[in-house]
Amino acid sequence: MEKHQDLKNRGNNVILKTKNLTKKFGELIAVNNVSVEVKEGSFSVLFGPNGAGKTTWINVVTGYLKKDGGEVWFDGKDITNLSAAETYRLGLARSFQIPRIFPSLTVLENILIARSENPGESFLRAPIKPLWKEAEEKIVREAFSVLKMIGLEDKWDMLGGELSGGDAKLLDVGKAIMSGAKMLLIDEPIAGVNPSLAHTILDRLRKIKEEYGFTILIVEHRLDIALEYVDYAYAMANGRIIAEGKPYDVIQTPEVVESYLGEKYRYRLG
Amino acid sequence: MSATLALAKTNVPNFAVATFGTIGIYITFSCIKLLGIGLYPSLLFCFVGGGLVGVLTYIFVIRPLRRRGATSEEIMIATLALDIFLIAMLNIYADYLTRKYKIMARDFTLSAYDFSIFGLDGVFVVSTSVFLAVLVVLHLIFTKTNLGIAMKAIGENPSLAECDGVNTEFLYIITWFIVGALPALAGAFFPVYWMSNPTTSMFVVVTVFSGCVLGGFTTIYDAAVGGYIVAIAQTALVSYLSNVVGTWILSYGFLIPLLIMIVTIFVFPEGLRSLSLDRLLRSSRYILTRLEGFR
Amino acid sequence: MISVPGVEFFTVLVTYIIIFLIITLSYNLAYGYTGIPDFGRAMAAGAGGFLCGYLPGRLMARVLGIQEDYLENVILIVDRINRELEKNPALSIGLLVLTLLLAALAAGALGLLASLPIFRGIRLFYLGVTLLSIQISFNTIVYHWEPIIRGEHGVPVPDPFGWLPPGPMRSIGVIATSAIVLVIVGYYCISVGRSPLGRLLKAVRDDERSAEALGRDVRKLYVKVMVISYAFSGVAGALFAFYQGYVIGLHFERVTWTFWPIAMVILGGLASNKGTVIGTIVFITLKRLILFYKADLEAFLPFSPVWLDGVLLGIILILLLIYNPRGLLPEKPEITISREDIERIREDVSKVL
Ligand SMILES: Nc1ncnc2c1ncn2[C@@H]1O[C@H](COP(=O)(O)OP(=O)(O)OP(=O)(O)O)[C@@H](O)[C@H]1O
Ligand SMILES: [Mg+2]
Repeated sequence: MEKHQDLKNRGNNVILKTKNLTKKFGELIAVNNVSVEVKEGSFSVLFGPNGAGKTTWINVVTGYLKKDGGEVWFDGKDITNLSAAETYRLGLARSFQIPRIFPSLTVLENILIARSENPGESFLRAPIKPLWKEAEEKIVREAFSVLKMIGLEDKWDMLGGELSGGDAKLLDVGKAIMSGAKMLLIDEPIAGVNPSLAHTILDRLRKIKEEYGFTILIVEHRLDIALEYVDYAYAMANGRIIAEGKPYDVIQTPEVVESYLGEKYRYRLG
Repeated sequence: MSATLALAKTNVPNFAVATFGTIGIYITFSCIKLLGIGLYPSLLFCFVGGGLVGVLTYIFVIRPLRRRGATSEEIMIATLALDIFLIAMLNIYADYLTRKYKIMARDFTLSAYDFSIFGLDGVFVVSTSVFLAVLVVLHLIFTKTNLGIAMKAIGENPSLAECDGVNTEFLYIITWFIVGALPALAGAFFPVYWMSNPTTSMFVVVTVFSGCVLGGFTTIYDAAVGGYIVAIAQTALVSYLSNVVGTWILSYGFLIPLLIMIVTIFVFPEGLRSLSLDRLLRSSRYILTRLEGFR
Repeated sequence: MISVPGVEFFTVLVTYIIIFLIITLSYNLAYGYTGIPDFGRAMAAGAGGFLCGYLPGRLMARVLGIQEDYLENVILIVDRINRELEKNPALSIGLLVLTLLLAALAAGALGLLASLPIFRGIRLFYLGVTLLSIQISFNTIVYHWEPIIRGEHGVPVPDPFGWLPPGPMRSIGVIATSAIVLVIVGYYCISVGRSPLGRLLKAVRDDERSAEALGRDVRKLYVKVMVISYAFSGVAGALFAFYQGYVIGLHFERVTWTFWPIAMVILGGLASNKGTVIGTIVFITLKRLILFYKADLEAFLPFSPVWLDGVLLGIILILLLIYNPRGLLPEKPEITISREDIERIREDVSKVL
């Protein structure tokens, strides 16, 4: 019976769900009763004006901030009260609006460290190389396939601190992939990146998603570029979800046009 | 005493403050023994001398580190190194005094040079009034004059203040003059009551630290409040306990600031600030100021 | 006439270098790799050293059935113990090894206690201040509280090297023992630096929150580093006490055992083990030379040359922090598996895809 259900719902499963999620900063309600459901295997975008509460939503979902109310479910588990490290271990990885790269580690090491089960990290085993060499080689192998995917394999021994902004964003995405997560929440992957690189990044994300069967949700402002890659969109303003659906439908809804896109965009669409 | 030391903190955690106080001790000592000046006139020398040391510290230690973009840990190591350096220099000076002038320059007190009015020790009257004066003047400077407001501004956000066209360089120097001068002034009173030597400051250090932790290293006021609480707790508790259980407890006085610090860490890991009870702070500062004057 | 250092100078120098290398290498693990600003290191050495004054003597007195009050007659009792130890190399070595292990344990436990505030989420910067304060308090207690090691009078430490013929053989015994410890500690620190753990420690130092985001329990990691690093430093303190044959409450103060080691690590290069070795050798040699020429200097200076130590340390540390904070041999990426292996894997991967 259950199995039958599973089969029917494949590709239709909800992997991440928030129910009436709320976060306040003093008087300000940054996330206001937000309920969303994200389908497994989807590539969606969450957009909205500055200060809409997008980053805060990610922070609350991934356990970086305490919630003031509501529930979060991931992959069938209630993760409402889990810490950041715990949600990560369950397979919900995130990147930051400003890429968080370890500056004194190489690009390769930055990828390697995203894999949290490494026997060589034990204080007892670390000094004895034979105990972890094999596992390490296996991880390096995986790391190179990730590096290849994000196109940084030639820069593997550059220091993280020496990377350009665009490369740092890619590396951040690479870390999330390497983590073996089921779902990635990526905060503004193409902000401050030139258009051609922006297309490359989104294109790669799309491919990565298809190849590995990830679920990806990006937060983005630059809809002109982002919309053609995603298959679902959520619009947020003043801490609330004001519309959701097929990308090009969502941006036509009156609420969205009113609160976010404004005159300029309507003009351009017209 | 240490209250003023902590009061003189800027946004740089300066762990040499206690030793600035010892410098004050030795300036007074030299004025009295070598120049034959009285205890109280030599306060002026302390103020100027300590201020100079503060300015030199800024120019030769803090400013180059800031320009390099040193981390706060590095600045802290530097001030601790400065502390070691100053203590060694004071020892050298004490050696020099002993050899050249054949005077005891260690473990001395200067109580003989005090006077008394109306049956009160002169030092009590003078130190209390100097403290009150300093507090009033500082308060006025910080709240009423442009200079003080600007000083507070750079303490809280240097780059912003710079944008507003404040001449930060000049202000830093003034601030550091005060940072040096106040502890030296406080130090001048120390030998009247207590035995003094070049390492006197070593034991005040823990008090200063715990004042900082309590205050949360943020603003001058927090540090001042933290310093007051710790210093008063230490003095009061130790003298009380020494009456009850015996004088041996005096040697362990330093444990009180340590305890306060540990309790603070475990109860409010971010310092008092984490309570964000600014009102409480302000009123307790007021009460403590009164208490300090009382003592 | 300027005197020239002789054999004795060099044996002392080598002993000091070895003992301090244990301290600086373990310190580098905590501060250089992990970024824990530990300004209380002296108490780690102190835990080991003072334990040497407290435990082995009392233990031996028990074993030998000595009834008198230990502290009151400590000089005579230790003398008796030493005569017994001279006759019995196996017992001596046993006592030595046992004490060193206990020193590691004691210092490790102190490291654990001192770093408990980490679990309260204290910021590392405050931790540095706290450790320094705890260290000052720790030393002051030992200094004032007579029942431990008679405070400022100190106590003699039983000599586990007495069975060796007196003279150079004893020095060689001390050096050999310390060298064995150094090899173990050095091996541990260097190989951890080149392991996935070393990589993780650096990551934590670079960005604590990010490391947490990657599923690591950063606080536990800090505490473990503190415990291991303190344990190593504790053994160094114990070796020093055995070498001196005497501990007093003034030993293991913060200038020699915290701030000189910091200067050594910074001179060489944070998170650089090679650099740390160089820094330690340079500064210990400098310090021993000053001490060696102390008598000659005494004549010139209008003050006691002992203060030169503090003056020098202060100036050196400040200059290093201003002009050379990354050290003579700055940190370099350390790879866990060889470059050839990495290149081979990279080739493989590019073929497959
Ligand atoms: N730690 C915080 N403390 C107080 N207020 C905060 C905090 N973080 C965010 N806010 C406020 O919450 C609101 C939502 O911020 P959030 O960063 O989530 O917006 P956003 O949608 O990600 O915007 P952007 O597109 O600029 O990244 C803003 O008004 C912001 O000022
Ligand atoms: Mg945002």
